[in-house]
Amino acid sequence: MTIASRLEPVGTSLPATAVGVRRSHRHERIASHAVVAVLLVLILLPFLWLVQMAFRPTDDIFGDQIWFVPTLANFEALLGGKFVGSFVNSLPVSSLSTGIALVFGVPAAFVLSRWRFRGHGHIALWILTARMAPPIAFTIPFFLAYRWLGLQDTVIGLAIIYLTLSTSRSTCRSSFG
Amino acid sequence: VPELRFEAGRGPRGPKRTNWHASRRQALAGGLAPALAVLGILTLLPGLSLIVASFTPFSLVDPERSFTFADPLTNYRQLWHDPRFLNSVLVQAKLSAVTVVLQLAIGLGLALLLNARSVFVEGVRTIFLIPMVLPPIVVALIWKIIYTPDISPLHRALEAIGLPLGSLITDAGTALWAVAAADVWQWFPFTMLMILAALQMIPEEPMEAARIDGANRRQLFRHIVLPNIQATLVVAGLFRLIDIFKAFPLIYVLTDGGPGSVTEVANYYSFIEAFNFSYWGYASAIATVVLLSVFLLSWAVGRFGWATSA
Repeated sequence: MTIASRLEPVGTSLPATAVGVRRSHRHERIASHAVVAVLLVLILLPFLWLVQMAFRPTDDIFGDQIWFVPTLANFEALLGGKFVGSFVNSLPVSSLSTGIALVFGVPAAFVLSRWRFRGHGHIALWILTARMAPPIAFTIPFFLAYRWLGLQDTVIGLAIIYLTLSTSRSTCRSSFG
Repeated sequence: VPELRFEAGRGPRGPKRTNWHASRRQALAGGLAPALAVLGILTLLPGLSLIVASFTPFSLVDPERSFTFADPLTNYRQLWHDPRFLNSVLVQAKLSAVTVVLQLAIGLGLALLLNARSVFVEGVRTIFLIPMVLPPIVVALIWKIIYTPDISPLHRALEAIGLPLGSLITDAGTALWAVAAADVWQWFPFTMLMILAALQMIPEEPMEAARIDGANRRQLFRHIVLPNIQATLVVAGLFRLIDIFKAFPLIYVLTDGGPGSVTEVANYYSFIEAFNFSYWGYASAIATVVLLSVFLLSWAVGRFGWATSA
């Protein structure tokens, strides 16, 4: 499709066929737009279903009918429940780990992209492995260390763990792409 | 990225340059060192303790016998004879193969479709990225809804046209493919994005020349587009291959490794051995094996990716 859409008629010397090319070109364009639109709806359907369920009244959650009166009751329930507390907990965790990661990661990324020194490849590989490592490989040692240090169930402890991911990520993203 | 390389001692102001060169190196090292120190503490230290723990029969239930290195390879020997671990490797291989192939195929197809100069197409490109930017647990929740017959739009639609379907995630024959479908949905935007970027880097001149020479669309794809995006396909595939090793939220929410252990990948099995059975030494050995595979794949990414992009 893409190749066709880029195909601008070259034939100024052959006006008759150029018109034909242009017409079939336009048909193809419409067809490809239609395909994109259909795929878009199809791919987003699971997500849209989640969104509509959020607005459905609780007693109608298993309901069959497509039309319903949207309600904000579920969102009101959120404000009254534990959600606010957990959301407030997320803020220091994410801002702490992101902030520290940027402070350390950005200068390092700049250096790695500008300076080819001996061992550059090894450091790049190390950072990439840290970014790609399965969480379980860090979960086990961190869990055991936290039991010992008493950092379990603390915001600081959580921020440190996310720091492992975000530092390697902020270094990795900007220096190697 | 242009490489800054200054030859010291050239030109009339040689000594001055050498000085500048030295202080530049010092400044660069100063920028790099703190990050490496933090990463060292946060990744090398846990990594090393993981490997050390994998040589012991470490268990929180039996602290006395935990730190013994009498038979350091016992966990690894046990791995070879553990049918559940061998099965988890097989499950991982199946899941990886299916998801990576489908993500590359769907990503390539959509990238070709979306690589058009049109206001509409350029506008909707971003919307296709939604699955990738959703929090993993939300993606898992979405698919839990889809695979739960009572509330699932999929099951209702199939029932409406007279094709009722049993729950896909509780059937041993389909559970793994159901998880794979959810993963493909979540991550096809990643391969699509990478391939789209590669497509837009293809120079216009050879395409133009081939078209004037009468090449048809298939020939253009085969001889110009494909060679230009080949390296990207390999790197995108390797990135997905590494990431699928970490499949956790989807499996945790959708199937919990079951039914039986048909959706239990090595990563997940390690989690169960550690947190459910408290065999930390054995779980560390499994995690070390997974870590080693990821390391080898990262090395391959470095080999392919940076060799071709540099």
